[in-house]
Amino acid sequence: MIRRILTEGVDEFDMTRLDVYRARGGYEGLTKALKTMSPDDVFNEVKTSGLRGRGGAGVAASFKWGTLPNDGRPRYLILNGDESEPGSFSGRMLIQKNPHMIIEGALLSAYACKMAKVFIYLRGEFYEGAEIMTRAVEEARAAGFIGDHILGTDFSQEIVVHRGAGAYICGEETAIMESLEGRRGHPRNKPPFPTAAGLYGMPTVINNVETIANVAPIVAHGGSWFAAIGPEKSPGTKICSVSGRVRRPGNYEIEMGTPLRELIEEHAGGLEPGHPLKFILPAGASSALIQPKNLDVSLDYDSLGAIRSMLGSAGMLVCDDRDCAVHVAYLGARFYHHESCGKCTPCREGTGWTERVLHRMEYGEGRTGDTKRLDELCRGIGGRKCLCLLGDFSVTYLQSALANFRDEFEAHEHGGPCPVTAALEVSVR
Amino acid sequence: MSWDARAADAVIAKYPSSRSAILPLLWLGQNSDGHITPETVEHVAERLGLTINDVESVLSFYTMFRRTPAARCRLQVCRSLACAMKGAGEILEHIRAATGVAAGEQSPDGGFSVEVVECIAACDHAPAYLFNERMDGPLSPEQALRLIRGEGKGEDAK
Repeated sequence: MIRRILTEGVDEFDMTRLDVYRARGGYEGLTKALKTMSPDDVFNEVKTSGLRGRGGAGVAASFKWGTLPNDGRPRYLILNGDESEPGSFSGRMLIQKNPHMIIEGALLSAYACKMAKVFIYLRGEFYEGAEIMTRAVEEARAAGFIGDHILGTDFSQEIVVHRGAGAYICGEETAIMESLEGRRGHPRNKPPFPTAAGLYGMPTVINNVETIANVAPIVAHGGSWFAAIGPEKSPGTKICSVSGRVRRPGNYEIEMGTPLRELIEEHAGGLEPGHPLKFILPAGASSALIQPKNLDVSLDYDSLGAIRSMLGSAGMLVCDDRDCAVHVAYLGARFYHHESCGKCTPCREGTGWTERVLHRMEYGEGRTGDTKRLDELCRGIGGRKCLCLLGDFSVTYLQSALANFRDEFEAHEHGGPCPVTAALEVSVR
Repeated sequence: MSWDARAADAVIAKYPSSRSAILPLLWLGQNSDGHITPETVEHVAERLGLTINDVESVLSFYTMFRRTPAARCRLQVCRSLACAMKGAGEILEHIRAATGVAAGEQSPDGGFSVEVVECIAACDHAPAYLFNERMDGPLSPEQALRLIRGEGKGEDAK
């Protein structure tokens, strides 16, 4: 079911304005926390809430926060707003429509973890989002919510809005730190994990903007209130981005545990008329496809994991019988080849090789054995051979498509037009 | 060329380490000149105590920095999954057939350019696009032509 916590009021009111956000209860959680709660109290509310990371991995926020060493070094919080996964656009909406909830959540998280500074990293293409967020930060500063001695207390906090400049990889948590340090967005080896040695070598927490936004209502209403929403192990809501072959593409904030069928058929209006569902990529281009027979799966981390897919960022790309499994694989491969940062060989070489094989299959020059060649490429690239997971992500859908639509791939081995679709090529690199 | 030293100092002051200001300073330069000039690279390097090569190596990693002046009307069409499925390729083909300008090219008079970009997080508006700095969609072939011809927002008559 639809449950609006993060998107409450955003369609009816201009929540980008501080006065509107405050009139609807905004910054009350921060005020309560600074006046009546210790940083540990705030941490414990978040721990009680069971909030898990919304960026994709689903790690409990309090687990990450709890691994920060207590050694007196400055700590940094980075809000990841580098949303670039094809199919995901919930962050864009949240940044543009509810920036103050993100800011309030960031201040509360910084208070709980005693951060020296907060960075909000927004992808470069979010021109409007960066303007809105910068304006919101300035408005909050003018009202005394950011800066020195916030609300007359001893708590001081700075927030810096930092823009990227076009690189998918900077959404990766170690690449985002390299980028913030003013370098190419190349991932780092782990360990050390960012909480031990992150930005400038200091303890650092990187959380998605949606994760951090949740902290504001959690502190305002209490961790146990949040923990009671949805399934026990995936509490809260998730903003699902639905795109592709549905009648009403868009963002829908649902209670965790809502059936995928309800999201697609009711909220997104069902599929476009005349074409049956073929498959869904539930977490953008990086996820294993879901077959129509699994449409009743619950939308939460564990249920999707149980059918060997993932909730991830919940960027749901819906495909019908007009969509060729090979064409979709080619579009994904082209994306990953373009976005591979070039640091690790399996990803750098493998994504390009995969794109070339899929391109020739889709555009009439497939060769006998290409399907098996793709199997080998998946084995060569996947399996955590690289510093980050981009390479693994690049073969996740492909492997699931090879398993579920193998006949379609094999039908592309003999040349001639695509047997499923005559899609036009967008071939500029 | 208009290097705003005061604005640059204000940006640098926000960061614990000055090198973090590379991207914001390059944005400053691009926003004031329309693209990254060699002078901007020199200023950034000098101000941050880096070599030209240091700055170039960062600059070349990020696709949004331009080394040449931008066209007056820049149309960037998303080519990622949802947008490709919803006809981004047909739009680019329509533009090429009507104007002779293919994706990745600029019109001979510099009036417009057509580019393809990877996912811009607007799949709900597929086929999505950026026109100069405005993100929108869904784009129709006819609207694309109106946009690059400078005819307002190019919206379809209602």
